Amino acid sequence: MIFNSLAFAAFILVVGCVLAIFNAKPFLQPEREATTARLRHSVLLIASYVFCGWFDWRFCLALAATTAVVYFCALGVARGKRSKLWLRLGVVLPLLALAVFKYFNFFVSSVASAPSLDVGALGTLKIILPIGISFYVFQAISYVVDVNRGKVEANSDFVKVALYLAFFPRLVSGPIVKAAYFFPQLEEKRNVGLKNLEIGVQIFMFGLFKKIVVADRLGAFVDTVYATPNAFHGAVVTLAVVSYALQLYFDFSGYSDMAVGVAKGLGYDLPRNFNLPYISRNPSELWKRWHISLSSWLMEYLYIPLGGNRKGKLRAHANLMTTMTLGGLWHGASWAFVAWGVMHGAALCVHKVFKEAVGKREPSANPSAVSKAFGVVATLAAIFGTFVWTAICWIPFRAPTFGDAWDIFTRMFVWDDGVYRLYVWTPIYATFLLGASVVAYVAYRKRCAAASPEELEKLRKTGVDGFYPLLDLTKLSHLTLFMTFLYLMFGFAYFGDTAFVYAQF
Amino acid sequence: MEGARWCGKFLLANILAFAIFSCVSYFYVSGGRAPNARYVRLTEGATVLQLDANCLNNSYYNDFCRDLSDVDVLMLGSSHIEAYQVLKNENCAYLLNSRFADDEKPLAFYSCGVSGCFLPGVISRYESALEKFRPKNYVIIEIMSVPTVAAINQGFSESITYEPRKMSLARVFINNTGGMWVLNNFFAVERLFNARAAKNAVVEEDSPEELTEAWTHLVKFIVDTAQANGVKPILLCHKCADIAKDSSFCPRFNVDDMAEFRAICEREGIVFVDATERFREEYEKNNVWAYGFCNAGIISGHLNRDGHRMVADVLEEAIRKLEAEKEAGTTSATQNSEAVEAAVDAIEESEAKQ
Repeated sequence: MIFNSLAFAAFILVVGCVLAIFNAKPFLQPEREATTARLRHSVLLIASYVFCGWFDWRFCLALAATTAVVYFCALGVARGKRSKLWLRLGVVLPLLALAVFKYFNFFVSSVASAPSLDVGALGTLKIILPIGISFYVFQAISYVVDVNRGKVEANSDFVKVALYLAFFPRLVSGPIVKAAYFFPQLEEKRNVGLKNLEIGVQIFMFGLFKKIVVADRLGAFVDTVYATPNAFHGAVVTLAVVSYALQLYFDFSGYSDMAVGVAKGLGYDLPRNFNLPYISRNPSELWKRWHISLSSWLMEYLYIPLGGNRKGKLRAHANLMTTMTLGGLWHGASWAFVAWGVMHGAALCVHKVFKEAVGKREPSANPSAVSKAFGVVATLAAIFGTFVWTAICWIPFRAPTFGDAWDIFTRMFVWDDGVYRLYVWTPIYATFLLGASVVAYVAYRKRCAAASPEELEKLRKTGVDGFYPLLDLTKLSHLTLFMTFLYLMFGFAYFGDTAFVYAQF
Repeated sequence: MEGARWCGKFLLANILAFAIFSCVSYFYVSGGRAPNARYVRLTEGATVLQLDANCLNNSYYNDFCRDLSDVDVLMLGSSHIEAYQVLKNENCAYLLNSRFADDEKPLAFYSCGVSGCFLPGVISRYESALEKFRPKNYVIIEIMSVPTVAAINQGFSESITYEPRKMSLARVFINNTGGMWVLNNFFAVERLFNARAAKNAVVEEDSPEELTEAWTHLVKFIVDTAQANGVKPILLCHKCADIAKDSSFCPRFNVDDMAEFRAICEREGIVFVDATERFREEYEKNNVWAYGFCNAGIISGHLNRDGHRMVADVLEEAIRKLEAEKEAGTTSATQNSEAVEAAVDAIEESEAKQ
């Protein structure tokens, strides 16, 4: 049951209607607040398991088992007695589940291919990857670790812990939510209300547009070229590489928007997962804008525990490489993802070295026109360079084999002859993205102009901030604009057989 | 009260949105047709076109100062022959008209391509098309796959005429408000499920005997009907192809079956023109692919500008050979073979020069 399906439309309608019942007067009495909240959570939990079981009922077992482990481990950690053991169990057991479901066959086949080892007898297993396991396992680990760090209290309510891991809007592809972000929402009175619905529907439709109009149409072109790169002219292959960078962004951020929209409609908030990543000026900024929930998880629960940059420069670089390599492996059990992680790790190391060599420069109070112009050109060049590198890194991520990835890479530079057909939608959609970036930049400049020195410092740290183009649907003009957008969206939608790219991870 | 007011706004917003959308939906209408209607299509390829009085894509026919009583060659087939995806001067029927226009005995080509009119549709329309348009020399029939027994039987089970469809005002309104398009796309999901189910369904293969019998019956029908109308049938075979993993050209049909069907056609006197080889040649030599567009599937879908040119090339070559044979046959029975050879040599020489 993916978000852009009729089954999901029916499902969310039913869930929404059931939750709306709790807006009725009898449920709003102060003395019934706790019961109502518990009922609401139970309905959401059942809905989440139905959603999960819709893919395959056995996925519910994996989810329930992870929940049980995490629930007891977190309580064990909180109790203080043998807390280290409970912590280790709370981290290792979910990781073990992930390793078996996701990496067992990869490990066996990789070891079997080593000439000096003979593990052929071990064989591979017919394992299906439970939907969303990569995401909820990371959430589970972060919960237990945060309990140990004292950032969040262990929750003794099993339903709440189960809902934290299974909450269906984010189950398939995240965002990875921290317990400290989600549990307080469960303590508050969160209803399905008109205001939430108004915002949620708009965010959902915005994500749906990204998915069915932009990403899927780009995907049709990308799939063709990546299937037989040697048949196409170098220019077409280059365009396909750019198209894939755009497709992945629109696909995954579209999914995240839909997840945020659905959760919002139900009265809950999910953190933002993307913030205009392709305007990043360097690899470090890219990872603060791309798949934010994963990169912050890796930073907090892997890079920093490894020592971060506290144990010398060499160790910091090694930690970065380890974090990104494992981050790559998290995406899938394949050497291509490892290569992708290594490439990004290398870029982060190079950027770190560059930053250390150049040092931090304070912006001049009164810059000359020449230095201003130079600054603009340098920024644009940095954005372009970061995008090019990111797009190149996506090649092994998408190509079926390393051989194909190499063919694509070389064809981009050798510019060999082949079928020459430049896809027109790529520049059109790139213009959309550019337009959104310019709008966000203008809004950022406006905010900067009106900010106090302290606020300005804060704004400079966060940088240009993307936002949802939300309308006031009580106004006729806004409502007309929104409905026109919907009709156009269905008019231009691509209805091929496509699923979300990140759902496979 | 507040709710009722919002519902009113919602209704009004929908009407306004429909009106705005209709400006765009007009570009997409493909099902609704009216005589002499003008169309702009930008979804697959790009074209600006006007239909003729028969709702067929032949408005350019008048460019060659012809009227409908002058049809020499009638072309029957699907949307590939209909050519909604290319500009009018890129359409293979237009190209053939222009190439034969300055001949001593010019030939006029009229295309009866209709979307979705594959072999069963062509069989159903064959007799009525010959009767209505009365071509003088040839009838070209497009086939895109090896005919199956089911397709042949389906074709013989009904008879369809080429009467233009009158569109009601309501239909025009629905089309132009985009409602049909929205619904159409919405139910595309359902079609997708059906397609999946069809894919999973077990298809019984025709036995060789059944196939041979059906093919012979079909070919005889085509030949007899053509002879009764005084024209020679030409079968134009082109089949969507794929690029294989090793970048080689890979036609989608069973080559052996097609060879057997071709043998039956040629035995019965049908000229069999296969454009597939030409497509392969152009791809392998010049990296030109006959199908797809830069705003849709880039190597799949309908014939593109190059595909139409290639189809026009192979048809021109075949018809010129037939015309040369005919010419030689009328000058002298004894000199027949020499004349044919000379004409064929001349054609080959001119091709070699090109």
